[in-house]
Amino acid sequence: MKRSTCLKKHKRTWPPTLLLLVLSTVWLLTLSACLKMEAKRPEITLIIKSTTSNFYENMINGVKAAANEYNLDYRVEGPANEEDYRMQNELILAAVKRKTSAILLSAVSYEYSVDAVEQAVAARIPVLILDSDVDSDGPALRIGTDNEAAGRQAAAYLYERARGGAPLVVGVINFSIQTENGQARERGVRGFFQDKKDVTIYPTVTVDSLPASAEAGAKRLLSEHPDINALVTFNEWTTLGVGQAVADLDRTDTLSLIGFDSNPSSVDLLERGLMTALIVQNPFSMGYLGVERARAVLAGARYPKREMIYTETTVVTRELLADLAVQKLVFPIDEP
Amino acid sequence: MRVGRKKRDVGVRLPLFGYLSVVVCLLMILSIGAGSLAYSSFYQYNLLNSTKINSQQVIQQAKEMLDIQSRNMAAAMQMVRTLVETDGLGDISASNRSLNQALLMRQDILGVMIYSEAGKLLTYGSHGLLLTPDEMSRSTDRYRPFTYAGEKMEQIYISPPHVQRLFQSYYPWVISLVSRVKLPGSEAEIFLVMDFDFTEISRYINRIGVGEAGYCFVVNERNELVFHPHQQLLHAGLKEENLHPVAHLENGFLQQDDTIYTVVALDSVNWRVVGKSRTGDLIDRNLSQLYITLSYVFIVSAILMVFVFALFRHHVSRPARDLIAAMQAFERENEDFSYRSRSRILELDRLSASFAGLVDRVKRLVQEVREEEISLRKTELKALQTQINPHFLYNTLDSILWMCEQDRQREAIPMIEALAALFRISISKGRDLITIADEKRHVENYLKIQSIRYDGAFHYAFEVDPVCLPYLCNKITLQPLVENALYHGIEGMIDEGEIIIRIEDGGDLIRMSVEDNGIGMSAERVAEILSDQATESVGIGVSNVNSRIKIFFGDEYGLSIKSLEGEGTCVMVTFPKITEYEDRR
Repeated sequence: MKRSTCLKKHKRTWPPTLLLLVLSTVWLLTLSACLKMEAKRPEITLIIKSTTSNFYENMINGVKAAANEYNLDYRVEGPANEEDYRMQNELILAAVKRKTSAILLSAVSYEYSVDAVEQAVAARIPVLILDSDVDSDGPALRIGTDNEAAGRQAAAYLYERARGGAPLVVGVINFSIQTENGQARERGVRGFFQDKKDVTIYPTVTVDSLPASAEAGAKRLLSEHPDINALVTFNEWTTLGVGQAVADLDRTDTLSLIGFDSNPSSVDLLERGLMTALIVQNPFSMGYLGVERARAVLAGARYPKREMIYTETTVVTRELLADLAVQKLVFPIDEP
Repeated sequence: MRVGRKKRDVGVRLPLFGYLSVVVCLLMILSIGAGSLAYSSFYQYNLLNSTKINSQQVIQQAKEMLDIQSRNMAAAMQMVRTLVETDGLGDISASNRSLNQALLMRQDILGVMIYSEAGKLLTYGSHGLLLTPDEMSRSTDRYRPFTYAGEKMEQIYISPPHVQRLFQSYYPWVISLVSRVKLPGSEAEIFLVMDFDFTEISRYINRIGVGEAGYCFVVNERNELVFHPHQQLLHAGLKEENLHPVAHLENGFLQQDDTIYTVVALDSVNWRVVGKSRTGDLIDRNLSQLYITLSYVFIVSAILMVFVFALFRHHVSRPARDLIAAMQAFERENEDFSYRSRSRILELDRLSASFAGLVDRVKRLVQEVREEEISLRKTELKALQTQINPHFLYNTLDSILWMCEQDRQREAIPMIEALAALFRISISKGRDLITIADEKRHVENYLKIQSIRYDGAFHYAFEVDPVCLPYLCNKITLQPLVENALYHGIEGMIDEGEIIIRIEDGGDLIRMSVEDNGIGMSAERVAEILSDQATESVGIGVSNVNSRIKIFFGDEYGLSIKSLEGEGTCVMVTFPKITEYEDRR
């Protein structure tokens, strides 16, 4: 039986060697690609409700502080008018298109911005809600004021202050039905007063989120119900408007006025004794935490569905303004 | 005995390929592991180092900036002090105006106030702003620092940053410098307060980035926060700034886990600037990136390795295995085996070539041995044939019979004895070699018989050196030669023939010869006999002797014939002296 071992043809060694070369090149390229990965800095886009608001100025300061600390880039965008949800949606989609790393959103409309938000989430861009919410499961996290609690806080202060005096007759001036915040705050107020027997509370007057509109609305309310000895209103613009109305009507001494937020004009009213108290939110913290958590989400953190982080609200009176801590809250340092 | 694979006790043996794979993989893992360990610790070290250096630089700059600011503020303060000390207060409007002037000195002076020792606002300078109507705002109760304003008159106290609420609708962040001033011409002391704009300073501090992820803040001598870029967060309780680490640190570094604190004290005031930098995130990020990169590298390297191994297998492992398999096949059956292999590896190639050569040589040797064996068997067979020569037996028995019939039994006895002896030695218990003495006896017996039969046809003689007798020789060496001499030499003669048998000592060999004076042989006949091609039974005997000697002792010994036609023949054999041998069978 003859056994032969075949002579290996030289040609057959070429393919493995060639493949080796090809793979080595691939390997080198992968390596260099990995090394290049570091270079990109994340960019966080903050989309707010209005570019002229003091509340949002503080939020922007918070975002700046966090961006500075964590070495991130940030962009701030928003419509000029707080009611313009269409513009906001456009801004969201533009941010998605330019492949921003994360979006921090303070939504004008609870309902009409859902689609834009979900498009962003589908494009693997995390969306975090600051202050004003949307009705969607898409956002990774929500940071804001516990609005019902804030409402209750306002009502409680009024109630305490009126203790031992005349029974409360309360008027409520709220802004756009669209925004959940205002509605929640009102629910808080009404909820607190619901079981209080000696409190009368009139139906809400709804105005636009503009000082002029609020002023007109307040004046109308007070003329309709002159027995009102307490007024509550729920945001920066309406506070300004209502405050102005009360000052104009010279009702300062007979009326307790609780407003929201720390617009310098409102604070001035407080300092001048034309406002009883302000419920001050903490937008700086919202902005800072927004960036901090966005960073965590980008690194892989996951929060439960519709998870909420509450930033507290403070009741600020003129007396309290002497407190350094309150000053830091109410008088933020301006940034150019 | 089959030479199989013996198991050695010296540890486990791995195939070449497996061994290489394990070694290379281990090497790869070790080097990647060691490399990444080295890299990450090196990176961490570098990062901490560079963060330290960077923090130092940044904090140093902050300190210098703040020192300059506070020196400027103190200088401005000093100027106003001098003004008050020399000019006094005078009337309110005058002092108001002069203080207003003072305000114009610098843009960042937002108010100059003079309070009585009891805390009442006496006069002030402003940029045309109206004073707030709130009495409370005007009082100095809120200026707790007054209690710290120092005993010495020279001392200037710097308040923590706060909001100035003195004027209507104007609430800037300021730092107040407070100093006691003695009015000229009296023992009365007043408090001089200057408010300086803090916004610029706070923006500056806010913007300071320390290291890759950090910020800086300011603490006072009681380790309380004077200023912090995230103060709103701190007061909301959403963040904490643990000040313990820097409590006792005046100037220098502190590293706690992955956080680095850099502290520097201001010259002008008892405050310290603290830079805080966290490297943890960065290290984590870098490490995870390192792991990702390593994974990629590892995976691709692994794939590369597979191909390298395939290549190795192709060039080394397979040729080696082929060689081994061929050797094993050869062990089993070396009949029609041939092997040729080329390998790119030098050593394997040489091994294969040597093995192929070995195979060829072995095959040749095996062939030779086989041929020799065959030859020997053939020759022995022929010898056997020669021994049992029927003609000789018939004729001898015939002679014996004739003698017995002639009533000459006595004469028959020696013939019978000789015949018996002849055959006894012939058989010789099957041995190949017998003593020369026995061989001589054998041929003597033969000659006895033949001389009785061919009475008077010839005579014979022995010339034997007795020294040779104990040595050994092939059996049936002389008898065929004598037989040949008789039938081819003497038989044709008319006269009486002569046969001389000689056994001589030739040093290392023995020489035996049978000489007759017969008719001789032609050269062709001689050649025929020597070439082992003779076909006649007697001719076979002579050439057979030659063959057997050559087979037994080697080609250099054997038979030679000298013959002259008509004169006679001499047949000579030579073989070496041996005294014992092993039966190869």
